[in-house]
Amino acid sequence: MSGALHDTLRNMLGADALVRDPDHPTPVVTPVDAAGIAAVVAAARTHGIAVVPIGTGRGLRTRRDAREALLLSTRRMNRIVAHEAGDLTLTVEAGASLRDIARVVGGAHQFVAIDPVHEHSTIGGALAAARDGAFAGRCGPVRDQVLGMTVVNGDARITKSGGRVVKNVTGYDLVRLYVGSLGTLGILTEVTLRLRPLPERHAVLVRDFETYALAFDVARRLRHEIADLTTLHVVVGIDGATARIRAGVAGFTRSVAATLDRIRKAADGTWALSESASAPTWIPPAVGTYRVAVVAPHSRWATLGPSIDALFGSFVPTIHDVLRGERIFGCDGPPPSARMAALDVLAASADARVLLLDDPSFESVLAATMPAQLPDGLDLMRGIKRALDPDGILAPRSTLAD
Amino acid sequence: MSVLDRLRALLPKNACLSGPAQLLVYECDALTHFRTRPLAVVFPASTEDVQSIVRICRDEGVPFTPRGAGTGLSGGATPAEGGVLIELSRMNRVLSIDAESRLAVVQPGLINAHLSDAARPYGLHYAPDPSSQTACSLGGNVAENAGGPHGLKYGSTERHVLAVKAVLSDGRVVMLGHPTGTSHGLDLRGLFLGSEGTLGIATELVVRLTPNPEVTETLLAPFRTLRPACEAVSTLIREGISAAAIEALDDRTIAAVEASVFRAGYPTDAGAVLLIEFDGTEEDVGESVARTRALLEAAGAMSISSTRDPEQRKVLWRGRKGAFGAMGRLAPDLYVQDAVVPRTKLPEVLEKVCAICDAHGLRLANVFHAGDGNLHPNISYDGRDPDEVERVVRAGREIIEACLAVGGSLSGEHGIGLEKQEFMPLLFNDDDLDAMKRVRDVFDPTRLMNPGKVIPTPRACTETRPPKAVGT
Repeated sequence: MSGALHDTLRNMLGADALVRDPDHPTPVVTPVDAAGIAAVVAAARTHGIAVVPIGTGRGLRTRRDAREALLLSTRRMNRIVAHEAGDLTLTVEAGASLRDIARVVGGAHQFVAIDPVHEHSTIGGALAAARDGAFAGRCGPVRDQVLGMTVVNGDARITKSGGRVVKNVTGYDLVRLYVGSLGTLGILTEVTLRLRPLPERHAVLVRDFETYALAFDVARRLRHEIADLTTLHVVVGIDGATARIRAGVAGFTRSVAATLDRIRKAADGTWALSESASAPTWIPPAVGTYRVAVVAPHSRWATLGPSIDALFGSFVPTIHDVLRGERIFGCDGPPPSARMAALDVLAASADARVLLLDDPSFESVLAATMPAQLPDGLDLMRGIKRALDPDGILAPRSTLAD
Repeated sequence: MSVLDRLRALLPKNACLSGPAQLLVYECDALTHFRTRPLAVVFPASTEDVQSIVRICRDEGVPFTPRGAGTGLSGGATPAEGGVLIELSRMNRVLSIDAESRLAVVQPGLINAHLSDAARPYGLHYAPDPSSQTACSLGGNVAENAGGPHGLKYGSTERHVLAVKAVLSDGRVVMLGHPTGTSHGLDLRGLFLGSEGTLGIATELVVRLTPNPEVTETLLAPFRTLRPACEAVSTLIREGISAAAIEALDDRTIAAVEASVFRAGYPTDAGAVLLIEFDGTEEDVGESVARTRALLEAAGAMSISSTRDPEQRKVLWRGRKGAFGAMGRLAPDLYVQDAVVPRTKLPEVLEKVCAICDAHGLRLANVFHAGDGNLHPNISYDGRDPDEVERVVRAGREIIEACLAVGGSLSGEHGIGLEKQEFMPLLFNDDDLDAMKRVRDVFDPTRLMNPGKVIPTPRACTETRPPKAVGT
């Protein structure tokens, strides 16, 4: 950061808005409102420096664009703006933590169906990454939990889209673009979320199997026969389990008891029961330093699963979200490119997609896509990037920036 | 060669209409308020046909508008002056069903209800159920992000369309989204849903199918007046009752329905009825119904009846889904408004809506998706009376302003189309709208694709006529 820009930011926002970060060569800028963010973006444009928005900054390890950019943290924008409990909606600033949000809405026996990536996750970070978690099988993906938002685009304009109502078809749904865009199109300042009633009871049945294949066969049957499962995972090589099914059920106390009985009847064996007083989520444990996710239509997994096993080994730590048709497995280092190339071929033949979860740049996301879908879709994405960030100053090293 | 000559050379004789009498019916969709005669109506049979038509139009600088079944209520499929209307009703096949994955691949002209018919042997159905589902097309549902009574539990069209093959304004074909529902980079599929045919023309859809529920139970709860019925809805939401549908009909609607072929046995001495449905497992539905009964009684319901009998349920829903048609008895013309408010604001907004219509001397009937705050004030009037038409237009604007004043929005499921463009600046400022324009220009820099929709533009090219009767 140049001295001139430093002075400009200090004069605009005050000295306390510039915070030293031991892992970053220049101070982190911490505005307190949307106007402050817009001022920072405008100043960055003037000085020709990129801006990378962060929440707590814990995702920085994976951001290749961060070291050359001005880091903008929303940590001081963490207010709960409005909790409309009767309407099941919540409006918060981008820096509010998911933990604080859960505490506030939990008081009204409600929850937000967005899984935290880690215990300090901010809502802004969670929406930028839009990593669908255990909730998604029952409540829909992260993007479905967002009703409206305000952002600062790359041209420093403050714009809003969506609204505060649970049903809305008013103009283009730009919210869909911003969620999961990793801050490349705009910096989130405020968001309105859909809330859901906390279930009376949340229980999980757990059962171990000798092999992944056996566990997966039972899980497939459960998905087919039990309509109201909240979560359904097959876990391999984690917590001492060779292969384990975790089947989560949430709802009325009486309904949950009946569904648990159905699961036991559908797959006779020894199931262990655990109860949870919290929202019906599960943050899966880490499966490795580098995680690979494969998501495919359900009918493809019977053949795709063994093929992946043959490629990466059948005992690598794995979490298979059976409701969503997503299998995540871990590697201790970056997966060898030859294996990834083979995985891409497998995926293309099974209508599947491959994602590298620990490198959330669009480069890695898009590099793993099916080639036939790339050219036009990427071209449109780049066009949108230019439209909403004309100078390309937001997350400039993403593939979207050409 | 002229545009018409090129289109005639491309398509079979019966796939290109241009005679004045032939074009008459295509001047508008179900919002007959706005009418424009197209240059021609074409009926493509394939994605390649659509590409060729679009390229011809682009070469000649002629605007073009996609159309499904023409049941839209916001004028989204009203053709542009001198433009080509691309009618997709002949692309109406179910291409495949993958029962284990609960997916279907379909063409956009397929009628909504026909997909559930096709999925029935697999124990599956297509969840979005607009009231016009026996007539509306899935492509039209995509364009408007259509809802329906069961959107309360299952969500609108956006939740159920996982991927879209679309022809862009330059004739390119792109696949947006993926059958797994994952986004790759930006969620272009999510942007496309509800874009009213301004970003591209859908030619193939990958949709999610939903397992048929084990049990379905429908409750009918009459109230003395509309206000306690709305308050009961707020209570149900607040208490965490997760119904599949919560619909409300007021006394005028009840009277119209009971006097029509859609008669459902709604009590005519009630000021309002709630139609509430639950589906799921035996235990879940049983528990939900028991709790709902208790809450409705406490809220002052005159009586509560419920049924799991498919035929009886069908009759109860026939009244709700036929309500708009039944209102044809009240006056020659009907204007269907569509707006959304936070659910706790329903009682106060409905009173305001009634007061607005009373002040203008208009006949109002309400039938709406109470569970998600989606109002449909329906104003019956005589389109031959210019003074009454003027009052209808003024009341429509005041209703929208009342909804926005409590944090509501312009449309819950009908879209903006031509009808509500002028209201967009009430909700969005210039920068908000400019962001939308810039995104549109990425998809269609020539602005030939369904011009004049969604984003406010001058209406110089569209003839405005009094609102006519509509069905939904």
